[in-house]
Amino acid sequence: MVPSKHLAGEDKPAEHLAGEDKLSKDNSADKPGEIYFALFLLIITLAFLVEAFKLPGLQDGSVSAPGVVPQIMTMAVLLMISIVGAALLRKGKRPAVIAVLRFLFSTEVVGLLIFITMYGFILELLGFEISSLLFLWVTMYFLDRVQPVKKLIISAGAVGAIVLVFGYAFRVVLP
Amino acid sequence: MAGISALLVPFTDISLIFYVAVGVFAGIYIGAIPGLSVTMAVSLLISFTFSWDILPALALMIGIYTGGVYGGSRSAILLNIPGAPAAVATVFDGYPMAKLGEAGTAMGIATTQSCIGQFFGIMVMVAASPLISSLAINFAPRDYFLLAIMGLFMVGSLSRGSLVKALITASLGVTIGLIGMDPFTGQGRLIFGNARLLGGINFVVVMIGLFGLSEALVQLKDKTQPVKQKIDRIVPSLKLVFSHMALTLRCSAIGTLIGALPGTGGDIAALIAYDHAKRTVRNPSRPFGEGAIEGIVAPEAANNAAIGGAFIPMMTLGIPGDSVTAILIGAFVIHGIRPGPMLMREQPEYFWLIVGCLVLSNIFLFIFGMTGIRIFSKIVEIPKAVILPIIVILSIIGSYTINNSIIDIYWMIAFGILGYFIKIYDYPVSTMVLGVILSPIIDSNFRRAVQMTQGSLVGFIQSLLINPITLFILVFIVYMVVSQTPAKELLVKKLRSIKGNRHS
Repeated sequence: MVPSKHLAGEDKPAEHLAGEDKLSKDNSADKPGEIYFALFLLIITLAFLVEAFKLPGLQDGSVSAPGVVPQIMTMAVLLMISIVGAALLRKGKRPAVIAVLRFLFSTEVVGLLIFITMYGFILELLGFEISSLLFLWVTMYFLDRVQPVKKLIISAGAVGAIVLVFGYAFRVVLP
Repeated sequence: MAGISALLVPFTDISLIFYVAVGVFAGIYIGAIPGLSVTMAVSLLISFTFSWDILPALALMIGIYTGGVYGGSRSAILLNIPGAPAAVATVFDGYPMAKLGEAGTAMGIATTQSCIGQFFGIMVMVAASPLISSLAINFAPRDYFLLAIMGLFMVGSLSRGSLVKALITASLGVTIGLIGMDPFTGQGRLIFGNARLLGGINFVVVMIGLFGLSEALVQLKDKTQPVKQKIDRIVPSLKLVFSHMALTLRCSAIGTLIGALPGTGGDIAALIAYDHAKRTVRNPSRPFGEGAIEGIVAPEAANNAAIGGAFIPMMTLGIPGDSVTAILIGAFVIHGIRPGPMLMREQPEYFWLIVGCLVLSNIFLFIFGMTGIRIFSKIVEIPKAVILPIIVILSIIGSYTINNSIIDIYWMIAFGILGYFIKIYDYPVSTMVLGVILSPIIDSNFRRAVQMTQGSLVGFIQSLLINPITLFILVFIVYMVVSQTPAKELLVKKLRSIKGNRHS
């Protein structure tokens, strides 16, 4: 029996114990858009690689220079992403960008990301208490569109508890 | 046994007792609520306890660690969702027990086994750490470099799914950890001409984003809903506990050993222990997977035993036993202390303080584990619409308080989104975090080791082969890598065919 839901905070539950071919095992075969994610990682890594080769390193024949470890690591990542990318290309599935975006970003996920970004902006304008209250209330209501007054009370309680515990008890500087 | 008197400090200082108790209590609920992980909680705590003294901070974190590893079993039993990775194997028989109306008994067994397992792990930690530490005092930079590499490979090889993907995130983590000023020359590295990046990206911000925000996004995508459950009898009989003692001790030993391997934690320990129970218990109370008590005994003893095990490499070698001890190393470093053989030699009181806190947390684990189960069942039912925005707020506070910088909040959001994609496409997140943390150890020790051979790569390679300790670690790494790749299967098949040919 394998749990149907994923784990909290960490990786997925094991569907097998040690001993299987880990090198080739990949659970994401049916997840659309992985090739684009691999491409994204490739671009990031290439940028790091170019930046690493601006430092003194392997190209100067020095093994202990500041650039050596970044160069080795980025080249290693590049090689491994190429392996993953080649395997994905062999599968030949290249879904439309719209289908990938639909798979990755549900309405709830997009909403949360928008609210977080807005929260980041209003934080400096309105201060922690008001902006957090607004963020919590709006997000809670957005995710479950019932009982707005109850959600406002819960939000106020949560902000109060956070200020009390972190601001006063732990003496943490709040944003 | 220098500094052993510090063992009693957590028992005599009322504030430390309070922090451990609060930590265990909070840890049980954090571990139990899917969406809140121990790693995330401890990484958030680093930022909140930034200005504290090291002792209360450690007491709280150890309490949360202990409670969190155990707490995952509650949602595993009640909801069929492991609240923490360490409870992954507990669902196999815990949830079937709950469906048979034995959720209380299952949670009672999980509590007693966790306590016995954790005590076993602490005892092994006490016995083994000084020995390993006295050996580690002879370690050279090349050995630390190899140990850090070993830590990376351990996580990579034991993470579920593709090894290549694990190595990609681990290597990316190392690269991210290198951003900032080079500690040897003061030169900016990987900063893209932006002087703001000279200070680097704080690993706590990376962790909060990867574990906290990304998890909130994944939970939203998957639309995980809480489930209501009934609770019945809780405390197991002594007869039941003692009748499984042999299995408990065997699985505790497995848990401690797995926990002591760098990069592995309670989840792997629990899975291996469950597998062991399935192979060795001939007459389980019920068939495994249908509510066998042995199916809870094994993983729960092992995952808490792994805590003591995980502290062994952390305290003796300065490398993390799992992702939580990786963060604890960060907490030590923030407070100006670097775990490792020199700490064990020069300030052994920290070792004994940790042992004291672990023992104390075990006592509180038993107390809190046996109580509050009915209230608990209500807390895990908090709707996602309420809990997820609160997780986001905590993640934002946690990332801001590191440097009191709004920029860190944006970094956290960026890593949260990256972590979301990483999780969606089944790349492991924990390897990236370990990469970030191990990054300075790899970089500085590699360069020191090369400098010790007058900058010669050939000399460096020779030094790996002619020193017994180094060679031992190197052979172990090679074995680890080979054993997790198809090469091992091919080798075993080849050897079997040769053996078969000889017999025929």
